Amino acid sequence: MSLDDLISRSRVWRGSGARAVPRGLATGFDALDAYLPGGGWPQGAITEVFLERYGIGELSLFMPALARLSQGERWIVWVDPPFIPYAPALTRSGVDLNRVLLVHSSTVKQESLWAVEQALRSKSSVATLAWLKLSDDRDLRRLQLAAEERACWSILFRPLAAMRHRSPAALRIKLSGDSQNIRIEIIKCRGKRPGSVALAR
Amino acid sequence: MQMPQAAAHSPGLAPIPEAHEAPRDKQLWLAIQCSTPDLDSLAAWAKTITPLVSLDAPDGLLLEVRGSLKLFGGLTAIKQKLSTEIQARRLPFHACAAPTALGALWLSRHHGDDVFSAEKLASRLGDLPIQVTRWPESQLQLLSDMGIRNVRDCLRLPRDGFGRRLGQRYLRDLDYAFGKRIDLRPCFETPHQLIRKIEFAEETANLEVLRNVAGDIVEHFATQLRSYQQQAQSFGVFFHHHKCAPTYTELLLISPAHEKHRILEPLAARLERVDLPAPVTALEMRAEQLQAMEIQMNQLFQGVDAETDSFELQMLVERLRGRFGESGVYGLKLMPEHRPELVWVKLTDRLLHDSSETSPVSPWADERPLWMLPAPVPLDDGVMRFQYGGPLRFESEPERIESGWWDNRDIRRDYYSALTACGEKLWVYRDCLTRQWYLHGIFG
Repeated sequence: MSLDDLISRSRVWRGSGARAVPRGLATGFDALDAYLPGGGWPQGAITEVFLERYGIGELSLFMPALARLSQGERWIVWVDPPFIPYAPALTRSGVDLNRVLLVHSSTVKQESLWAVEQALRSKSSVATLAWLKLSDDRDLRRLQLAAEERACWSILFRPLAAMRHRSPAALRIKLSGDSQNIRIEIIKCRGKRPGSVALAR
Repeated sequence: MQMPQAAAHSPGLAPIPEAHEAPRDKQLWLAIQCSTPDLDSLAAWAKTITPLVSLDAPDGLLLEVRGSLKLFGGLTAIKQKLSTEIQARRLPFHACAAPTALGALWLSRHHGDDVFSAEKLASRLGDLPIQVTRWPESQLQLLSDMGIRNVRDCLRLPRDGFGRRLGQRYLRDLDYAFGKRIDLRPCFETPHQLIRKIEFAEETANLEVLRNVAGDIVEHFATQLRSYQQQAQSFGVFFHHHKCAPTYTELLLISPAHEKHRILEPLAARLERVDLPAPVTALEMRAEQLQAMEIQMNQLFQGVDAETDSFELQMLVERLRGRFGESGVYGLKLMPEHRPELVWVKLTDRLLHDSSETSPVSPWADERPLWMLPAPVPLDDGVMRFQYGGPLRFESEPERIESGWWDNRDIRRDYYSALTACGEKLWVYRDCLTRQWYLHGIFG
């Protein structure tokens, strides 16, 4: 039996490297694709995003992937966005408006979580973007399970304070930016060590 | 030249049996005698045979079938269809046809046979005992005291005397039955809304109780809707209180439904969110916007096809709307417009239908921010200066947007994209009239 056989049967655990990582969703940015295992955003999983302030290109980072998903039959659900997603800019990024559904829950914590979970569990959605004010490890675990079950990509924007806590998310990133670049600090990434990537805005 | 009629009367041909005899009169009424509390639903079904259906409470149903004979292939075929339907409901019935509505009804009460001509009708009706008329007992007693046993005897009495002694109404009935007077009957219409109200023995604010009662009502609606072959799109719920005005909430489904679970699930979510100012004395529900049922086939092997996808989305939207209301769940739509705040609209209904109808929107040419503020914020405002402190650096040449002089929402603005010291990119404008600076969008 050759070494490759052994590895492919995954009887041997290896600390890093050539584990079979499910194919990711191309981000549209080469530097980021090269960094992320699977060559893109992890599908059927949670991507957690932390940012200090809005307006540093936090949405445009996801637009190429969302634009591609919106060409399919399934929907992209936005739960409690802090501002209005502006339709002309969405179409300019290539997102099909006919696949966009916005949900404004009331401000109670459980409500927005409930809305995200409903969206994740529905066969009709392919991705959800949610701005959660309060949520803990247990809530995220629920969402992670739902996302896995339906192969739905879930992007959660969370307050910076939540960064210190544990999380079942497949990918956790912190965004910061200046006039030229957007800096993506990878806090946790399944199948890869933390690091950082800078993209031109 | 040989006339066609002559050929028809040639001796070799068998006489035409009565059942196939073409009705000579204008109308042919089929009366159905059937004891059921659910006569409405039978009437709704009968609408599939003829638009002219009339109820004769409590157990009579009248169908004008003259116009339907050709379509269904004769009276025998119609009666066959009818008997299949009623037997499926496990009900005893008797049906017979006659040129007049009341005549058919009387005959059916006596389990008579079909009659097609006015002359035959007169002789058949004459044989019927007077009890078939269902006149009040006192009138029937009066007639039987006079030695009258059947309808023919009534006709032998002097007309004006009969009218005077029994009442004009009974004279009119005879005229209707024999076709001497036009019998106008109200046409049965399927209801436009269903209403059901349940009073509680004592007032309650218990959500569990209310949910159960609402479940019962929805179940009742589901049965009724199925029997009417209809679907409802909107459901109104009234919570009646002892002293104050009823609390009202409305559930609007994204597409009409008749299935219990499709109505009950969003409704239960809605009930949880209703603020009740006082305990509830009665729960009233109305199913509105009824429309003919569109059958959706449930496939045995459900693949990922468009049909189930749109159904899944429907369920999702309804579930979310049950909780957050109609205005909380919406899609986006572009409008042919230049003013930044009017270029998009919320799409609250027809979320599903528009996707296939709209022509593909050409991508927006100018750079626009992904985030829009609900309303422009003056940049002098204390909060904004605090948040976006420091000088703004303009990144672009101004873009003049000037439009809307025709509808009093006139704007004349110079838009800039600007960077803050912290690296946030904003979409700001200066009002050309007031020289005031505003923040309108954020390049997220």
